[in-house]
Amino acid sequence: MMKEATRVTGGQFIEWDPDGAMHALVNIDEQFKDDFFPDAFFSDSFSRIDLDEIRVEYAKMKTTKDPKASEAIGIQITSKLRNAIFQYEQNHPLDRQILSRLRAFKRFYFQRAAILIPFPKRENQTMIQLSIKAFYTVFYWVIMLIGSLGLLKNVFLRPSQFGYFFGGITGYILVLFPIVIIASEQRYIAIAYMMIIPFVAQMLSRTEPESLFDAQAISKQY
Amino acid sequence: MNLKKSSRAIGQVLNFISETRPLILILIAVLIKVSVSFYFASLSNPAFPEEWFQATGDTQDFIEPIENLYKTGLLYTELHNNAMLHRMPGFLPFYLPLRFFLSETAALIGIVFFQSILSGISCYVLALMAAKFFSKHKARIFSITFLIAIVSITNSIFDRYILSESFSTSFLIFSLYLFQSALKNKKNSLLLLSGSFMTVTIFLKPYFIFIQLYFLLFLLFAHRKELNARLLKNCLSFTLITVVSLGIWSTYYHHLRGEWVLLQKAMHTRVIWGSKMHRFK
Repeated sequence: MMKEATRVTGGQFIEWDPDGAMHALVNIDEQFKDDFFPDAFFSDSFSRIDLDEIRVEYAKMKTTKDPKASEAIGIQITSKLRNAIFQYEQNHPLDRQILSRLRAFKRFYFQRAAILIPFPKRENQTMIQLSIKAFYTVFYWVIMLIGSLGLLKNVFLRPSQFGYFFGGITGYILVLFPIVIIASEQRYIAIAYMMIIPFVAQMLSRTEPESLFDAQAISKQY
Repeated sequence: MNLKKSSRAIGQVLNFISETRPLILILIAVLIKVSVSFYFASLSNPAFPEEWFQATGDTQDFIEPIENLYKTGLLYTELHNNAMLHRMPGFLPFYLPLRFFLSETAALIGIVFFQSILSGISCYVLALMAAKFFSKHKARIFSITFLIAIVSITNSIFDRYILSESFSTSFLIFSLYLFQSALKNKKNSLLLLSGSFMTVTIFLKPYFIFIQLYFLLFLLFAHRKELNARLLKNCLSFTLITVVSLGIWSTYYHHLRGEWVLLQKAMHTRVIWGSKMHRFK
């Protein structure tokens, strides 16, 4: 329902997975070079022979100068790959509907937060750069874990307006992207991360929030 | 003994932060965020200024329609691909005014600079907002939230990209702060302002329309004992700017493309999830 609501209101969503078939379609060059393919291409209706044929057609497409012919080959390749995906979906409903979402949640929640820091590759990193990356990865996990505990406490164990105020946004993002849309891109979690910080502060301060509409609280302006 | 000493020292630091003047805290936060953005930008691409900002595939989807508006007076033309038609012009109020005075590259760097400044301010506002929920340990809540927010890079890493993450996070925080203040002070003008910041967030990230609906429910819940004309006025104040802006946007889109779209055209690419990669044997 949530997905449909997102679609109706014009939400843009792409189910994405680095190990998924869409990745293979977009990065077809890389896939063929590495010779590694996602699960979807391993079924009774799709074999190595099919894949080799696609590889030949793809090479043709890259060398063809006629744009119409190139487009026709592209459509042919895409439809073959999509058919393989469709067959896989039919044969693995559990993976498609449930396990994929759990994997997405795991990937979305436990982001490698430091991955976007533009330091050189691991082998060329200095000790300081490596330490910064390691620190931020662990720091992110710690904040998310403590914050999530605080969120759960303030929403379910001791419901408070503080919990609903910040938790609503975090919960929405944590459900919408990995569970509904099956997306795990790091940038989607940025807002949820910010909204979880007050829960960390509360957990570390070991104090309880007051009602936003409480007269006493109102009188004590910060 | 040492534990006691260190916890007292931490407490003193947290108190010191909360007692520091707001302007100084904001300046520190802004300085950190701007430095991080521009340092990372210089690391990833030292060719200043041509390609300093981080351009991704989505950047063009945001910027090109505005460039088009600047050059031709229209957001979209027939030449635009489908991806661009899926974007709402969330960057328009920031990029277009800059573009009147600056070149394309300078305007983009200006956006990165502006994003970093707002990111810094939003750290302070978030801490202020969190502290308002507490009567005990306000100073601690404020200081810890502020410290974590300025030290974190999960959000500030996006300040150097022309993507919707940085602006939408900052504007959402501003909107929520004004919303919270409006609930406390019972001022409609604050709700109107909160709604306008929420509108900017929705234009940057359309799925946040549900967040506005969520906070509308929050508003109704907060005043559930006084269901009257005043409450209706509150709700109208909070949603007015959004409704008007979306109305103008939908009409403009219909005028251009001949179809009614409330936010942006839905785009859904259906794929299969893969548990791992294999090699054919």
